[in-house]
Amino acid sequence: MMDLIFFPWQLFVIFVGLAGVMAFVGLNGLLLVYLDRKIAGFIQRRVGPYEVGPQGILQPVADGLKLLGKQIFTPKGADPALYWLAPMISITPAIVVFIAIPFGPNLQVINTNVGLILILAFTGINVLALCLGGWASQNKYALLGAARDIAQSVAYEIPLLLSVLPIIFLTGTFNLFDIASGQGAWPWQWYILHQPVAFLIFFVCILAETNRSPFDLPEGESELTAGFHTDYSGMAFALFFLAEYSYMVIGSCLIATIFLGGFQGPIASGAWWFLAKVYILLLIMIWIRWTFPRLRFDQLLNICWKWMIPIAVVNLLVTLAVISL
Amino acid sequence: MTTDNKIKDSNSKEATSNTKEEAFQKEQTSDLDQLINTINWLYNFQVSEKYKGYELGYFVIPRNLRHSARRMDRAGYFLEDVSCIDIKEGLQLVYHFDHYDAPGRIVIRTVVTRDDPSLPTISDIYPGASWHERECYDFFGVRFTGHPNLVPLLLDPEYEGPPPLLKEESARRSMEQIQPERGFPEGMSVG
Amino acid sequence: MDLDRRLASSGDFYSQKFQTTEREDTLVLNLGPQHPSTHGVLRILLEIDGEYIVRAEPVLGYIHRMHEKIAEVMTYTQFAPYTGRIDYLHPLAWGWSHIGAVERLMDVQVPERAEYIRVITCELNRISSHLLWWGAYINDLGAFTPFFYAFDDREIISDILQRIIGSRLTFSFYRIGGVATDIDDRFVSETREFCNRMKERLKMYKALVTDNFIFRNRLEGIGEIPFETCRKYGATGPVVRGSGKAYDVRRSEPYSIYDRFDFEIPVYHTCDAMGRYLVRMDEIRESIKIIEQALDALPQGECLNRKAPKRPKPPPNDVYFAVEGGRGKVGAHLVSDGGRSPYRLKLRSPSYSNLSLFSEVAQGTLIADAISILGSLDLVIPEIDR
Repeated sequence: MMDLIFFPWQLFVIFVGLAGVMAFVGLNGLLLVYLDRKIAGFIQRRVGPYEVGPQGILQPVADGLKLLGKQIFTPKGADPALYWLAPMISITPAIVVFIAIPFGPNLQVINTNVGLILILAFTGINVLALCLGGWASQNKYALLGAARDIAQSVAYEIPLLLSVLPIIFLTGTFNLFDIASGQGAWPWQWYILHQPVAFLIFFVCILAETNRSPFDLPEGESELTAGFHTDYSGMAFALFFLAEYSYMVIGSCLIATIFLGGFQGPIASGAWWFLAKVYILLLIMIWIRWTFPRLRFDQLLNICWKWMIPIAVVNLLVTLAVISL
Repeated sequence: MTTDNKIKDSNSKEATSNTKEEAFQKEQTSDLDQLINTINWLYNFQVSEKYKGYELGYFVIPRNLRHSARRMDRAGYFLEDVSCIDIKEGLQLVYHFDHYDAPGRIVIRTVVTRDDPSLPTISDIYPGASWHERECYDFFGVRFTGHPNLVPLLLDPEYEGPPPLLKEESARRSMEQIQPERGFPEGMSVG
Repeated sequence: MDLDRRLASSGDFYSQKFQTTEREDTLVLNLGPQHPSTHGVLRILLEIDGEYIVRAEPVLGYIHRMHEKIAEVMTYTQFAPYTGRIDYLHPLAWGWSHIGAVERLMDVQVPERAEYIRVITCELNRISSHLLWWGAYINDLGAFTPFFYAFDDREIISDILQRIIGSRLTFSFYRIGGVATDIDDRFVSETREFCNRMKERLKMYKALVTDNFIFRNRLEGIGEIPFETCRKYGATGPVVRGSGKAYDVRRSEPYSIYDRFDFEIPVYHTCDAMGRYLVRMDEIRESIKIIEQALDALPQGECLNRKAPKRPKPPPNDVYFAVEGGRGKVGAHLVSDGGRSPYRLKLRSPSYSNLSLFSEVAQGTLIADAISILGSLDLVIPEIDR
């Protein structure tokens, strides 16, 4: 009897949840790789992956197997400990933060009161990973990429947080489940209409934080060959790659939860609504990637410091004024 | 990478003393000494290049090259290229100039001896000449005195052989043979 | 530390020479010879302070094949195919410069029809060269898609030219006294179709890329090359036209029948990368104009002068023949001693002169801008190294 009472149900749920999340992240990564390549093919008037499986659906699996089969080696002069730590640091928060995301009314691993803070704080760790990877590679291109990434991530954290604050003031909670369920089922009840400016800023910041085009400077391949992961190959590269896609998904999940009503939809609210919203956002990100050229580094920072932060602050003040009235 | 080793003076003629020689700068003494003995007609003159893609042609002595380049610069010409031809008399340097507004190619030629193939650089007047001169150094072993960075450009810096575009003795032609009817002044002797 | 010493003493002749004058607080970065945006095996040594370039020095010669020596051991006709390998994007201009020089040396008459065919194919080739540059340049700036759109159009040109020339990239089509094969009605109709299509596509290019906000910010005011710098370095082609000087060999020393066509020389006075970009985009339009005029006026007759020598033995002399290539003035300085092969052939490559001004222009710019400048010069590395 005593054993049963002290059976750590909470821990059990977390472990099961984590396993589910890892499966989700892996499968989602495969699907996103496929979608990214297929949509790129569509935009660029070519077929895209076609050979492996029907319509090339198994192409990401083949890519993954290829990456698994690659020799693991450390470049000469690199710091092995930091070098191998970096991809792990990158992927870990990307998996962990999924436990706080409300996928559906009953589909959330932990319903915590600090869900939003947890996600924003954990995703910030990624900067450290890229910085370590770039530094430990003992490669000048990687170092430059890491330097770019730090400046970019630190700068864009600020408008990112500033654009979330109005929502927090509106709802009075950090609990993502409450934020999602606080919005109605219909699009005009979502916070995107209450806070369109915050939504735009948040979306752009998510693009910048996840190093997606047109803000993909840390890995801008025409300038820095591959940026911070120039020297990585095999599974280490795959982890960085997976982490990048995971952060895209996390960003889209946050936008969907905060601004687009989360799992709520006009008919039959549930996880499918959430996933649909997330995937529409992901498709928009992919679309942007294959359309726009890359910004220059100083332009990137100028946009942040001269436009995004002031607008976000003004937006926040206006919101506060309206609330206090 | 010593060019001296690369260049073999095949038609080494005994240098005899000449009274003109004292008038020239010290660094060019041996240079001109050779030249005057082999081609005693070498001085500034205009040659007829009216046909075959040229507007005007000038022949200068190496010492006057910088002066000519400066004049071309003042006249607003740009440097098309610097080329070199291996001839019996030595190495003929060919500078092509053209003008953006008043087109018409002007060619300035000069000859250096194979014994000491050096002449002043014009890369400070025309920075674009820098690479052309390095190319001539690569292919012919011509040394440009005063060039800031005379290192191999197109060839491997570890290349040890002779300059690749120098011809064999039997294949060399004289200036009269490859550039006839240019109206070179009298007294021009070949060989 | 041992590692630091090992890294410091690494590098080849050029790196070590470059490092001797390095400042204490800077980093030497080796851009190339294997780098995504040098488009070939160009290597540039950069000394950077943060992301700002303190000093830049191109290192050449990685694809040097000594075409000038090859020419000396080949006959005049044998060397013609080699010219297509010098600049693989606009090979017909190089072929023309060599063939034109031999013709000028021997006073060979070219039939009227052959001249028209030369102009049409050369201009088609120029469009395809500019299209590839367009795609690759925007790829350098981080947008991938336009590259495929450019190749879509370029493919049509390749197909058109393949039917009559037989190859798709390194063309060797011009012969002494004319061209190798005659064009037929299908060529004419396909070319007309392409011209009409290209006019529509140029509008799409403008909407997709030229008017893009990010793109304009990456080009406007970047890499300003004053006209005087162009002159000092002997820059030609779109580089000097983007710096406000309407210099085009087709106008300044008209060769072939270019004086018969009505076309404009696009000039922009901004001197920046945008100016050079717009010059090339306008040149596509002007080339279409020339092609359409040439197709309208295409005469009947022979396409090869039957009296032209098969194994030429030109009289001793030296000639210069210049052609306007996609990148600028392509020149051939041909010296003949009366034998069957050239005594000396000096090839004047426009990219060579255009690149030589890079180290001056790149000073003080960001790495990203240097890439943008490099792209706006439209370099073809085999042409530089020859």
